[in-house]
Amino acid sequence: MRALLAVCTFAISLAMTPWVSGADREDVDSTSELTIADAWQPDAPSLVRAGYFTLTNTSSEEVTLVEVMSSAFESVEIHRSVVVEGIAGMEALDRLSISPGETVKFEPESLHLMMQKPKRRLGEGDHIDVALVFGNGATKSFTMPVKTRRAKYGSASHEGHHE
Amino acid sequence: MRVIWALVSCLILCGFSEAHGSGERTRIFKDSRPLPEFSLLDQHKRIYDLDRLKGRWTLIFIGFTSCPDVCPVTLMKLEAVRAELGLQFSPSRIPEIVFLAVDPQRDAPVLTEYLAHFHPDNVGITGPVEQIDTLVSGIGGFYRLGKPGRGNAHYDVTHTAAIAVISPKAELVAEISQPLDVQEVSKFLTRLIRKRKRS
Ligand SMILES: [Cu+2]
Repeated sequence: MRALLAVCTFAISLAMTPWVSGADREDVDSTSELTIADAWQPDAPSLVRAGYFTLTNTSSEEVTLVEVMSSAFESVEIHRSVVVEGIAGMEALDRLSISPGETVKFEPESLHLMMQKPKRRLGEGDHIDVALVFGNGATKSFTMPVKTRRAKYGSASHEGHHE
Repeated sequence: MRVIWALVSCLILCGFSEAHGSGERTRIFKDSRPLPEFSLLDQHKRIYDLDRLKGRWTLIFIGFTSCPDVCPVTLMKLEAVRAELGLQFSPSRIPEIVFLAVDPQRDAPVLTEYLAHFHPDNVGITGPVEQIDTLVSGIGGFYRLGKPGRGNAHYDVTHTAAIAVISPKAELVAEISQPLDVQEVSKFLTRLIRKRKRS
C-alpha cells in the first residue's frame, strides 16, 4: 500500500511539474543538476596534460557531454586509456552519455581530459578554468587546480597501494 | 537478436577475462633472450647501450612523453616497487627503471625535464629510430606512431603495455603485464632476484 502511495505521489508530482521549454532548460539549471568533485591536473613537464574530475548527473534525464573547453589550452579532448591485447593506447570520445543518477570518474589509467598545448607555463598551485558543454546546450564551469602527483597521493608507495 | 549478441559477447568477454584477468600478470620466459647490441642516449645525453644493462637488474617500459595518463602512473608505480624492494635488497640489487621513449621527435627535447620531474634515479632513453626499433624488438615489444587528428597536431602512440625484466646478464627473462599492482610486482621481483642470485 505504501509503495502504491509512493508511486502515486511520484506520478502526481510529475504531472504537477510545469512544462519547461527547451530554450529555458538550456540556460536555466541543467548545470545545478550536475555536480563536479575532485578536479585536478597532475603537473607534468609536457605539452600534453591530463585532467581529472568526477561528474555526477543528479537530474532525472540523461545528459551527453559533447565538448570540453579551457582558455588555458589550445585544445581539449575526452580520452580513454585502453589496453587491447597487451597494446596500450588512447581513444578519443566524441561524446559521453551520463545516465540519471550516474557518476562518471575521470581518473588515472581510464577516462581523462587530454589537454594540449598550454597557453601559459603551468605549475603546482595554478588553477585552470574548464567548461563542459552538453548536448542540450547546457554548460558547467569549474576550476581545476594543478597538483603534483606526489602531493595528491602522498608518498609514492601510498600511490602504489591505492589500486 | 541484439540480446543474443549481447549474451554471446558477454560470454566471450567473461571467458576471456577468466583466462587472462585472474591469471598471472607476470611471466618468466623458459629461455632467457640475450638483448641485441643497440646504442641510445639517456636523459643526460650519455650513451646507453648493452654495457649499461650489464651487472644490474633493469625494468624497461615503452612510452612517450606526450602520454599524460598511463606513462606517469607506470613510472610512479615502478618507483613504489623500487621503494618496496629497497626494504629487502641493497641498492645495487634493486632494478633500475628505464623509460624507453619511442617518439624521439617529441621526446628528445623534453626528456631531461620529464625524468627530473619524477625521480632522479630513473633513466629515460631515446635516439635514432632504427636503434629504438632494435631495442624494442629485443624486448619483444611493439609500438606505432599514430596520425595527427583533425585540426590539431597531436598524435597518439600505441605501444606494448608490459614491462620487460632484464637480468644483470642483459637478457630478457620476464615480463609484467598491466595494470600493475605494486605489491604483486614487488613480490614477483623479490622472488626472481633471490632465485637468480643462487643459480
Ligand atoms: Cu589521452
